[in-house]
Amino acid sequence: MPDSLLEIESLRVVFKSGRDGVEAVSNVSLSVKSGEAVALVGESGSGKSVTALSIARLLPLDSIKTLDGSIRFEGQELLSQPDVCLRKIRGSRIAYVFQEPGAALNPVFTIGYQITEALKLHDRGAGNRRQKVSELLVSVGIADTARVSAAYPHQLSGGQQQRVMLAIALACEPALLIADEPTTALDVTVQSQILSLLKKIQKERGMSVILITHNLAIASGFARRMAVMYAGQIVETGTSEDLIKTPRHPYTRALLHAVPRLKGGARLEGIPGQVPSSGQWAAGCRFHDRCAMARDNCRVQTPELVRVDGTEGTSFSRCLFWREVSGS
Amino acid sequence: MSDNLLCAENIVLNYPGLSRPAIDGVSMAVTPGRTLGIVGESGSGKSSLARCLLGLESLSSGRVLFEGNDIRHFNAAAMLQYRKKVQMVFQDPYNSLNPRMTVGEILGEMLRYHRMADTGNVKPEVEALLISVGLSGNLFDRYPHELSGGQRQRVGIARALSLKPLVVIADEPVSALDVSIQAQLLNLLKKMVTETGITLIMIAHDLAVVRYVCVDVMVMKDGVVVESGTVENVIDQPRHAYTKSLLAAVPDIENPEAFLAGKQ
Repeated sequence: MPDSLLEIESLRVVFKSGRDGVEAVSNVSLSVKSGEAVALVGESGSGKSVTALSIARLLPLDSIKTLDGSIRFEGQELLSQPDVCLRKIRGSRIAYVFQEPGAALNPVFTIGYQITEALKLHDRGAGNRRQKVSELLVSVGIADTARVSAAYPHQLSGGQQQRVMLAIALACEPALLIADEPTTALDVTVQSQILSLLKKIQKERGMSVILITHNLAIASGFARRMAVMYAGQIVETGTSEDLIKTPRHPYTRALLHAVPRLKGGARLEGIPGQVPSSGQWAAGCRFHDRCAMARDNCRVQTPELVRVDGTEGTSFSRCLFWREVSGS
Repeated sequence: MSDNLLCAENIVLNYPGLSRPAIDGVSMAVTPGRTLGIVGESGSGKSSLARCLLGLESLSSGRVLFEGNDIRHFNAAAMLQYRKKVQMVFQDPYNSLNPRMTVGEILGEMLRYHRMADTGNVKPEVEALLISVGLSGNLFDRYPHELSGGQRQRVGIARALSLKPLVVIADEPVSALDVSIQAQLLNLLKKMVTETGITLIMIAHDLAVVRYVCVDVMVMKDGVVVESGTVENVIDQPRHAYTKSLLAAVPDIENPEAFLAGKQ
């Protein structure tokens, strides 16, 4: 697979807790091609953020009991890399943008200082870093670069803070940007500006992006391909168009019926029960206790991620009865 | 206009230290049984407006009328009645329930204080309330931390309903919840409106949520109302430029790439 930038295979993450630990991510496999945008969709506790943090091994080591599987990035196995090597990749080849820009920026340093820090750490732009900082700010849509550069984070709006985070992430021209709910704390108009900007940058630079979101509309607008996570597993993956039009997993379908539409429409159907907590997964299919289609088989048989016929290997579903989810 | 249950007349609210008023001349009215959505972005004044309607702010000018009477002129007894008739559901179900009280105590306190039930034994009343919001009566002895976010918000709704209010003001009641749980709660709010004939004022930033629950909508920006009308009219034929830009920014699953087409 020469065109795969990132190849996650059978990732399993268990946190320390009690004697057995808590499994947050089970057997997740995901590949991202060079220049591709992929969305990872799920509700709280589904394992999407833990998956994302595992990629550059950002999870606190002392809280991890098991980190199994394989994460290959640009041909290197990341899970077995020593920390010194990973430090060269983090922020340089793989960059992150998180949900709360106000919490991700250091309150006691100026914006200019924090962008410069990203450049210095990876020996970029020596000699004309000031110039490089203003170029980066311009590239994320900030025009008054002198003011913003000298400002402290609290002097900026949430949208501007997130633009600055994006500038820091882009400073070393990463091959992969992982954006974890980057706009959840922002107003809708600002959200659309930030995501439009990210989309433009992704296309122009041929950068790969993993966008993590709980919002199916954002996911399908931003990425051509998405993976839906539930209870620590990927339950369905495919092109965004297929997933929205003909979901092949009851959870995806139920999510689609649970979102109110701007143009009105049918009565919403909530998914009964609650989102399960990490590690407290149901036996058999992990969704069976909330699934309207569940049968006896679903309680005992653990479904594998199987290929959906007629999609040329792009769609997979973890449902024993995937053929029946959207009719045949 | 005499059939207005709750209305605001040209209210202005100033917070100390701010250069512009948080609310700058807002008028609105709801008749019994109506559902009004108030949408706007952060800083638009929508939550401040809710606080004004509840009598929690001292207005710089204008007045809030309940059943035709200015709430500022209520004496203690009338204010107690007002508090009972106009109830609130808060955004964050994690912070709006006392962590040291059980569900039974939280709901029982309301009934006892306002003498809505036999003060000796509120348990049957509380259990009936829990069941009316789709919870099991068994939760009586549970503490908030033992409940999920959705269950907590149901308790918040039960608390608002416990006093049989005429008006419920819900401030972003579902925005802290997961998508699959949001739909359950929105259906509960709709059921509450149809079954009890209550007047609902719902504050939200999500226009699709407002469309689902409300009949009327008011769009706020920088402390003023820029557009109002029925949800169909405002969403399908927005007239104000701000409403249009707001609508264009909402990610819509039926037209998923549209929200990325705007300004960067």
